[in-house]
Amino acid sequence: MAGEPRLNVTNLVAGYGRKQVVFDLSLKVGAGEIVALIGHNGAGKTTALKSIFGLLPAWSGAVYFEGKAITNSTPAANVRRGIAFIPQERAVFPDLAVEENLDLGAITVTDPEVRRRRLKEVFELFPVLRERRRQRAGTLSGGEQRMVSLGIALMVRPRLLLIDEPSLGLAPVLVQRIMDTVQGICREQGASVLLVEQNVRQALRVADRAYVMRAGRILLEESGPSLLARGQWWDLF
Amino acid sequence: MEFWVHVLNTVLIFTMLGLSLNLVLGFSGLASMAHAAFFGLGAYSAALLSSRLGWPFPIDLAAAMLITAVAAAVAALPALRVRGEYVILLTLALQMLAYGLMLSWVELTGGRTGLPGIPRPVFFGWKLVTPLDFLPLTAISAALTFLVCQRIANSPYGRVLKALREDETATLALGKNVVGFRVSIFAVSGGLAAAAGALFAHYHAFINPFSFSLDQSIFLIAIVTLGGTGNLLGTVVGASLFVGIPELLRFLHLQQDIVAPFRNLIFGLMLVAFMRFRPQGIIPEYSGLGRKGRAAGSRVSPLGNLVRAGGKNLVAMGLSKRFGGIQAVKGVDLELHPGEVVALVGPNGAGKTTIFNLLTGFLKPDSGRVYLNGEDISALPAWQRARRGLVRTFQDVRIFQRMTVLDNVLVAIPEQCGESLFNLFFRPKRVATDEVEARLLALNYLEFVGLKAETNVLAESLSYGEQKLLALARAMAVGPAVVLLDEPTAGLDPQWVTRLLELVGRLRATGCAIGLVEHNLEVLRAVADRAYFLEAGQVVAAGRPDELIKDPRLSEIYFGL
Repeated sequence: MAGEPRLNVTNLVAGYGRKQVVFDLSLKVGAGEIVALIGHNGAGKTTALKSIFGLLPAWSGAVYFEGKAITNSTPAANVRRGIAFIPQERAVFPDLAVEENLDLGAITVTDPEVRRRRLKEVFELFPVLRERRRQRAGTLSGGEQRMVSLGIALMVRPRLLLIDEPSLGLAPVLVQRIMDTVQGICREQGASVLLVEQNVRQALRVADRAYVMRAGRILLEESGPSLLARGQWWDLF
Repeated sequence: MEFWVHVLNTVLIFTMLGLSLNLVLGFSGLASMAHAAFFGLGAYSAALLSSRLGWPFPIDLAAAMLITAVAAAVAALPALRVRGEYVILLTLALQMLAYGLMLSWVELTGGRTGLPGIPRPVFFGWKLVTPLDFLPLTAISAALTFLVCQRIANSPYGRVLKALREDETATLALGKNVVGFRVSIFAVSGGLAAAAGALFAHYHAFINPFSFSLDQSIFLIAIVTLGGTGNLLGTVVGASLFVGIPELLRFLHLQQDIVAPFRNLIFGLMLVAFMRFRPQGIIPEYSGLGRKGRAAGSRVSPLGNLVRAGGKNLVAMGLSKRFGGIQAVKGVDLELHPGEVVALVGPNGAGKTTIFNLLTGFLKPDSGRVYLNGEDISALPAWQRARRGLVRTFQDVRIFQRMTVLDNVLVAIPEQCGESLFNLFFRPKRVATDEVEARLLALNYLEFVGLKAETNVLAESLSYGEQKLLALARAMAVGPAVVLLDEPTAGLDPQWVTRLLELVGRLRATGCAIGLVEHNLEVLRAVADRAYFLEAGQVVAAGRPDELIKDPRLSEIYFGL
């Protein structure tokens, strides 16, 4: 991690309403690095992602993107900076066609040629979406809607990708393909990824480093391969 | 002095109206635009019965309540098939219709001139004339209305209303008869509005249609919304503020012709200010919630006592379903036996969830039949299938967000005494003992899924994984004989996956038949006895999970390497 980290979070505190969920969280994601954030249900992983992206207010602490403080800036501003967030829910526009959904992801892209190329790449990753390109996204199955919401974020081609449980509800073969794609984006285009994932084995397979969260705090930081090699990471939860 | 008593009486009557509307708008989530019509129907009924037929006071009020309750129930019927904004449109049409009738049915209503000379109520020779005479009557009526509404709101019946407000589909899946609840709450709400109407008619001794216009309906909605939907005290405060404050204008010695516009201006400004600074209302539904649950030291019984029904056979034959141009399910046969765990696996979009929807009655198949223990249930609606023990969970969880964790489970317990309005008011003792038992049971389910510490928090504040566990506890509370779990482990951490597997194992041991849509291969191997492999809506393979996983073609299209 030479130079300025892509994402630097220091002493972040956040929560919902009066309920504090994230306590004094600090983490870094370097350029081109994949970092997994793992932990048990309710540990505060999703809350952390949301407050980094600006969907939830940070009560205190700071978030830096490429050295610039972006604490509590709006999601819209963060997208323009090159940050994308893929939520856990099926974040699609149900009344728009699949292709229109994906086009919205590329709303910051002006060159139509680039747009077409990225669309093709998304369709290569999820061939079923090509078949359903004219279908309303709301009529797709749960798993297919997840593919659309992942596809939207991939159209953005961000410098920092925040992903909340990409594997949720997807066929095993697709989970592998998505993880490989995430890895590809980082290796080839130098993007950085902060990945929240319950499928720990798949996440650690591609992650350079991992943070283990428990009850709103970082419990452990370790390189992906060495954490995977431990074999008994279940005990950490 | 007399003026202040008059304001107080008006506030009390509008409090009654607001409370009755809150039952429908706040607790059941149905935006009724026809409340002024019910108010008017009550007022005209009481006025006509007392002035033309000479019925004495409390009797004409009771009759007005009954008439309006029936009318409201009938009015609710078409509103049952529709949701959201269509309820608004339908009740709006109803309101316009009623208002039109009041204006144009002149021989009955007197048209725009109204009905003068409505007799004053007489109690034991004491005639109520001045506002002060009326005050005890309006005060007692408002207090009674409050108590009735509170009783309904805090009962098992009220819990089902809230569940309906949060998610109708999920409520059906718990085996609740949605139609019955909607019709009865409309009737109760209409009846209470009619009581306010009858008091209003006798109090003023004169009525005309202009008190029962659409404006009035909207004013009532404003009172409830700004007071805080789903909170009865909020409605009392709302009525006091919005009826009382404009009256203060009289002391500003304004010219008569600008008083009305000025009042509307102030009212409008208050509305905007509230929407901006306190959109949840003056007293929000759950003020003072959000603490960790009280550590209830109740006994916890083992799961054996928690699962009531034995298992049943579920058989589907030739199920097919087409959505537009897409054949989602085609000629699917499948069987589930008691004490067995059967998985549906296959690529995303293969039709797994659609099959669950066809089995549980949330979708009607184009062809094919479903049998539960030999009984043909193909024609039964979803809630009746759930009553027979065919229970499901949802991929997108569908817990009741704006209800507490405990209430989410409590509402699922079948055949609660307090779900009947009759029992609520005439068998309070039985309702109370029943409720204590239900609570204990619900706590046990929560204990089992490890959510007991969160008993009294709102379900919306749970994390995704915790919501999944809550959905499971809720499904168990229905007492399943067959349970269909749609991606139960998606989003759960490994520890909870283990816990869930243990739970499924215990459920199976009680004889429950379990269907599973699952993408987690470890779960599949560990728990499924058999699996059907679906592709493009058809069963292309069936067998033990490890056999299917070994199949090279299925590995390529689904399992991965």
